[in-house]
Amino acid sequence: MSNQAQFVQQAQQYMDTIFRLAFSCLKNRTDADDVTQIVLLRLYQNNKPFVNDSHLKHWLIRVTLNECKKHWRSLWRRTEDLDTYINTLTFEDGQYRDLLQAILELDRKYRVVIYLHYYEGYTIEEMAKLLHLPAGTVGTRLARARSRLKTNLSEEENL
Amino acid sequence: MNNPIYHAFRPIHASDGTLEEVFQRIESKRHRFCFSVRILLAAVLAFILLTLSVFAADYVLNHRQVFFFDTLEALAAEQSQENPGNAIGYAIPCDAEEAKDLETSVQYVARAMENGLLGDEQVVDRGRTPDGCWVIRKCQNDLYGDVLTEYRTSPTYANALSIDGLLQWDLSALANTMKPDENGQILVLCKSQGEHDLLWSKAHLGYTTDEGKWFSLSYTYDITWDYGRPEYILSDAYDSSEVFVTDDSVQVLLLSYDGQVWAKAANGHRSVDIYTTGRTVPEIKSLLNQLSLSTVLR
Repeated sequence: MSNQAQFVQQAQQYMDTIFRLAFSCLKNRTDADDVTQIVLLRLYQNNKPFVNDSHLKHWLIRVTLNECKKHWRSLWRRTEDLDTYINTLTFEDGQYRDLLQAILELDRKYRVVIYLHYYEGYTIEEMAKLLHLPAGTVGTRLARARSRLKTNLSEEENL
Repeated sequence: MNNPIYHAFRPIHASDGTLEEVFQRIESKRHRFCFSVRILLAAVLAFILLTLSVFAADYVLNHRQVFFFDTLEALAAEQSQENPGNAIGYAIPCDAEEAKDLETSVQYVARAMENGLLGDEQVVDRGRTPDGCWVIRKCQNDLYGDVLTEYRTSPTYANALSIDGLLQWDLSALANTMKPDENGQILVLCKSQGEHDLLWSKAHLGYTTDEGKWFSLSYTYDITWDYGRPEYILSDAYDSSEVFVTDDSVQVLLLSYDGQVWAKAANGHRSVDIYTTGRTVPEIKSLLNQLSLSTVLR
């Protein structure tokens, strides 16, 4: 397989993962698109071989988090009406839309651990390595994220 | 999967055109790289051209005489045409080794007198003084008609040169620092036969430095020939070439080449020439300041 064909295959396999993580971080579709393209560009330019898919995915998530941090530091951040974007998405059930909105209302640090743990299936130890944080801190963040999410959802139900 | 959070995130997908955008960025980066390479090449080329231009300008400025005229002789010829009688002659100087075989004016005249080259049939008088000799000859001159030319040698000329009604020149600055040549101090006076009016006069004075190198000074006066105030040609055929102004405001053309130094100053009918292999340009400048040229060339 040529390098380009291999890149296309890897990009197609992981671009949604990258985009979702970026969107979780940035809460903006355009910025998430931008970060996704930059990360894939870095993948294209990367000369180091990956041991396996897990290694590749780990590398992509690290690069995505770093690029998100760069975007976050940028003085120029685009704003977007999240509801407009979320309304374009097709959910299996309406309750998942509310859940996503509730997740997106959390702080960034909680959004990231929620996504990595519940969607990507990473354990606390794996997230600790990805985020370069102590496992205890990640565990606390995950617990608080769950608690706040619960609060947000019950508030919405009461409205 | 029954995880509700998984279902909440699942509808989120990267934009359809993400891969195309990535490839466009890759192309754009390539173009930017090519553009950067072109800019770099253009900058290098511009630098080379600029350097060449600077070198060319430097060459033209330093060799403008040669650059704008075929030869320095052509330049001298043109200056002579523009200022007849005012431009000094130009010659490629010989180097110090070649100069050893040349005879100075002093040596030539001394040899001429010694060997009788002047022609005995023209000699009307000759004699000896306690420290020198004289020869007077009669001849016909195209310019002055019948003239009497008097050749005199005396070691006293090395210290002071005196010509009646023309010159009182203290040369102790030379005699005190160099050794006067034996039989090397010659004064030539040319007078009309009838009235004995002075028509021209030349003095050739020779000295030797402590290192055994030459120093010769010539003084010329001519009632017909006007040396003017030369439009000095500064020639880069020499190691150095400059017009030096003495403390008493006399302009002197100073040339140096291969250890030789020439100095030339003129005003009207009088001129002074110096040639030496034993003095540097700064030393000659110092000597020129002590020779009171303004009184000699007044």
